[in-house]
Amino acid sequence: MEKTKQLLNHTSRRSVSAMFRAVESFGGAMNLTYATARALFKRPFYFRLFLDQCYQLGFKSLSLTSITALSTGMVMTLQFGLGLERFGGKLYVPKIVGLSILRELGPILTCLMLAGRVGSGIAAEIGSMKVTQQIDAIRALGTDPIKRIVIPRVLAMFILAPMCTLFADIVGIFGGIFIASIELNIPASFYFHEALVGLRMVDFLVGISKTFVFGLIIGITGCYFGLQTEGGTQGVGQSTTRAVVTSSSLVVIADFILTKVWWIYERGLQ
Amino acid sequence: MKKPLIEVEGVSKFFGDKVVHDGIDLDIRKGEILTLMGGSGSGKSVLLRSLIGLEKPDKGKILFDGQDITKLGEEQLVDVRKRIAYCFQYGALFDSLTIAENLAYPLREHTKLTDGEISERVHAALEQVGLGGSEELLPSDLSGGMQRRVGVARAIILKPEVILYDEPTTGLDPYNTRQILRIVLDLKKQGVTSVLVTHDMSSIFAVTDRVAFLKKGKIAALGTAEEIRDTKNAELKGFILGETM
Repeated sequence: MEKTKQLLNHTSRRSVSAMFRAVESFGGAMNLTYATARALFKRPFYFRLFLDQCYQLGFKSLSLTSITALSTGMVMTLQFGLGLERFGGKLYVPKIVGLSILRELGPILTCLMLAGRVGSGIAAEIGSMKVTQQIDAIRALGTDPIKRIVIPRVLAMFILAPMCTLFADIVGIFGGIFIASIELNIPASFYFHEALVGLRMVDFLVGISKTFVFGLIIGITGCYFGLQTEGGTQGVGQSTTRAVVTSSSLVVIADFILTKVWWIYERGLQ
Repeated sequence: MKKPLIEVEGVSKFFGDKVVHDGIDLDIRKGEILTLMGGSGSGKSVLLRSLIGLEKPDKGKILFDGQDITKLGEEQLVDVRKRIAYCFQYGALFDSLTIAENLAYPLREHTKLTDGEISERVHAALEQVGLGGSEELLPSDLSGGMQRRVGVARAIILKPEVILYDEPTTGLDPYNTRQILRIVLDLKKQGVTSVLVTHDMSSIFAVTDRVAFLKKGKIAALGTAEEIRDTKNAELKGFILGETM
């Protein structure tokens, strides 16, 4: 009985402290977002650093996000092909797969991949700079870490997350076309036509608009946990893990909220 | 008597329950070399960081050339940081930039010099610290001692009035130690004020004009290098001889 009581006490203390930490992190990330927004329009502008981050964070992620999208398009086509064939609905596969990729799977899977690759990379890089006093050196040399470190990364993610998603959408649909023509005997031209005709602009906008928010979440979370790093290499590891876990969770939560907002808007139009 | 260049007035600093500084008063005169000495955790580095605004005291003022820097925000501190340079313990060089790019960094940020002029200044600064020819290397290509000398070169490249050194010779071989001390003395001849944090007793007495001994958040002793070396204060004597913390 006594041991159970102790265990419950310990668990509740840990839960409360984890909640406080979460609230503190949320507040800190909001402060960083505010400071970033304020610094965004003030000189100096580091355009070259921004371009470099676009290359490092966006262009270098394309292979990962493309493989994910290709595989998703192929798997979805196979699964729906198999399932709908039983009900004679095989010809609906292009529309269903296209809609799923554009509205949901393209954005969410691309951004979860980015949260893993880019979020961890940002947190590890900034965390290493923090523990080796390079962030202090930026300040001591009369420059602003937010301008030099945070803005190029956050801005690059804000712009590159939608770009990567757009590319992933295209690759995903082509993956579907490829498998449909080989495995389901659906001609590529028919698949392509059905996938395009069946979709509306709003389907594309629903998916792509969410990725601007996801990009911001990944950029800010990576930078925030990187800048909070304490305690050497172990601290860098912890920051990296926290950045990935937090940004992935926030992306999934934001996905639901934004989907719901779009759902309300679309219902209003009907 | 001339007004001190930096005046620390009643500075207190707390990290949670821990009292790091408890009402510190200290004047730093123009052109002198002052050493902050004390056991580990006595707040030397925190005081050094406070002198350039990297830490904010919880109480008290730090006047640089008559201006209270504790009231300044990061943007207003830029002008102060062009006049006060900081040498980090392990150099804190940007590891993604070459040595030349590390040194060019403050020049590109704060001056309108051309690329040619920047190259000349970078070359001259590296020559001054005995590392001419290392422009295209990365920090990881250099030894710890060389990295610190590059850190010093980066700090002096804007020709600051004050240089703050955080343990500049700790863990260095005798050659690199001598090189760093030579640079500190050369800069003194040019009128640069230096504040050193160090545990290295031989360095302290080789270059310093005055020594401040920090203990329990206060300045426990302040005097010339000779006064401190010949002190009758048992606590200070014990610290210098390595018998107490």
